[in-house]
Amino acid sequence: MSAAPIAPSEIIDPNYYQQNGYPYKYWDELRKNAPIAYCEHKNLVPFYAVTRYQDIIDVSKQPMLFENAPLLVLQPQSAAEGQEMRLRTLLNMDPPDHRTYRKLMSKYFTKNRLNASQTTLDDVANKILDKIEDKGDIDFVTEVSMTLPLAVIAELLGLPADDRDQFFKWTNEVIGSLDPDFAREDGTEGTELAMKALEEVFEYCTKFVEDRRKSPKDDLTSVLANAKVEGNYLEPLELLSYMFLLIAAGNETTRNATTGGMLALLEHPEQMDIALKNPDVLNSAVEEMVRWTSPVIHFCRTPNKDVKLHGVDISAGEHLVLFYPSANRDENIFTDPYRFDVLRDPNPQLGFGIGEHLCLGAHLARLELRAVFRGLFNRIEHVELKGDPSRLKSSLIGGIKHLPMQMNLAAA
Amino acid sequence: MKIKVDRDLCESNELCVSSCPQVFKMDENDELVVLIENPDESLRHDLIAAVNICPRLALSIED
Repeated sequence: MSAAPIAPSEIIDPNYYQQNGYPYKYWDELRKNAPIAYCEHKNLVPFYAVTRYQDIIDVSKQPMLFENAPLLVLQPQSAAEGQEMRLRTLLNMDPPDHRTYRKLMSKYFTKNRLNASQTTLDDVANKILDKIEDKGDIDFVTEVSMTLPLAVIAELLGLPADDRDQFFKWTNEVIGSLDPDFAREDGTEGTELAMKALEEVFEYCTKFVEDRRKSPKDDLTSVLANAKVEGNYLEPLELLSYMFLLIAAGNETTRNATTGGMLALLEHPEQMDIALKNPDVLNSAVEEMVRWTSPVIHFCRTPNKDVKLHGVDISAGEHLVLFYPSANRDENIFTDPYRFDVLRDPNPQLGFGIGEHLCLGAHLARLELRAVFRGLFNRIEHVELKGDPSRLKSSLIGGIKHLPMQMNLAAA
Repeated sequence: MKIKVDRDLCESNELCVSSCPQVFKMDENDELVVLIENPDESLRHDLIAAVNICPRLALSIED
């Protein structure tokens, strides 16, 4: 038996997130009094909650000791037999494999390389805003936030722009499989839905992999389809998982940071005012949106040796859950962490994680957010919230499904 | 003091260059170059900032 204090199960209960948003008051208490706390909830495996900024860094610094492969996320469906077996992505690999597979893509996601696409991104963003310029009442999620990341990832992978709605649906069905809103008309839901959607994604991507092996193009699907590790093509499972990871991670999280960023601005009109009057604040505003929204709620790490953290004994094979939004409210790191401040500097936020598994698309996400908010800051004439945001039933991703608002924009 | 770069981790995020341009720069292939391997003690403050800001935790200082 471990002597760890007990964490309230709200911090991992998808229903709590759907009804209330993030459980900040519980995390605050844990950071203060129980930085490593034991938690059990329904059919999830028991785990230790890690809520302090510095502890998340210390764990992330040791990828050889704290592994991803044993367990990636705490979701009922991932605990279900079979599901984890069906994906092999960077997220559930450890070094040395992780480094080998990450290198296949990382050179396409460097700051220097991506910066060249800023102008294109601005054009795409302005076209999206042109469509809603005179509309007035909109759903910000489906008409603004979801559109740019989907367009960009389709373009990078060389997949048809017309299939974007399908990527959106598949991503929602896998990531949001617990949410009744994403159940199919035939009643397919939960784990079964996630598996079905994955099967369809794999079938879809297989066609493009075959095509790009025959006739490579200048896109990331061609890179992956023709990549070799130790002289061999990637196994189909690895290759298709990689594509799914890029599609899903490339749209879900940025979509939610965009929506959450807009919501934060609407809830802090004085900050909106600063941003509209000083376009120079764009970069720090975007960084603050990532800190404020922290769209990824948790990932797990599992030590392969017995360890002691803050006096709590953790055995090899037991699970740690790193809560990134909690780290981003850590009062030891951020002055006045509950103030949304578009001028915040420094802002060493952990929304993209850190270390070995730092978000591969972190810089792309920044550029996408900057493109959308550059367009918005330049063109907003009037904005107003028109209802409550509807939140995703998930303790993995802090999703907003709809954000009804009124928005009037100037011409570009 | 000696600066160590873990080349398996570095992905050219360039933040160390902003923190300590005397020691770090990017070459034309987008790779990090360490200009002074054993920097002077006077640079320690900036180097610690560079180590701490690296999002890949790829830098370390050896005394």
